[in-house]
Amino acid sequence: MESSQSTLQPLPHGKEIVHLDASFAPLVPKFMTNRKKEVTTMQAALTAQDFETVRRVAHGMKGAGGSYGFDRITEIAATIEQAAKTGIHETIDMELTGLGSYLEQVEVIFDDGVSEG
Amino acid sequence: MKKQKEEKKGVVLLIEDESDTADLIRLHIEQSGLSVVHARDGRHAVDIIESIVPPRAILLDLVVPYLNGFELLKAIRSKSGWEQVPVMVVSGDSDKGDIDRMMLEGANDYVVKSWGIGVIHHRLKLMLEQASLGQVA
Repeated sequence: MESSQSTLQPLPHGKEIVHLDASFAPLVPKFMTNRKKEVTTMQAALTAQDFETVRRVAHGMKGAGGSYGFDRITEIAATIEQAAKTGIHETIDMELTGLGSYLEQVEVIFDDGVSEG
Repeated sequence: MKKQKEEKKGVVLLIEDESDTADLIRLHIEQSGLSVVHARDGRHAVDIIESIVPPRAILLDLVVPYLNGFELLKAIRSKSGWEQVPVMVVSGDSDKGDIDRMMLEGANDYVVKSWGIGVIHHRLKLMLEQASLGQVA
């Protein structure tokens, strides 16, 4: 339980693998489900030009991703949060597309060898 | 026996609105033998602060609904018996102005969430050890 260091390994065909401590295993399915719901929430908010909701959801996702070791989620969420502060629709739209793809493709490997893909 | 052990190690107050982050932090803290009281927003945190004895430590998210981290830290430090409770700010942001302000206003540590749960857990243990030795700033 002491170490939760994750490593991000981009693969040639675009799929990414994230290694996490085995102690995270019970929490990751809910974590991934909630992130996918948040993408939907942000897409709806963007359509409604509700940048404050986009910013708020992205801020929470930025912290959650970092805590769990999903560095890519944190990077994308930080970009969306910043773009929402200045109302840059195109950037948010592009990053949400990328985030949705990432969440569909990422494979989690726990240090006991169990994977959640 | 487990209950006695938890009571001996004490309680950590966790103020965090993002449920997955709260679950992860709770999991790690409880595996250390400490108990967790979780406040999901600023109002809930104030209710808890008014109703429990001072905890061993507080993990405080800077951005929570209704009251922000600055307001909550002020409430914590102004409550009798809570002046010396170690407070670690756990934030998604690393803004230097926020860090300086929180430390000036009485936080004992500031950790950015992107550093990962391992760092959060390690720094909490250090803070508790320093508090037990009377070294908390």
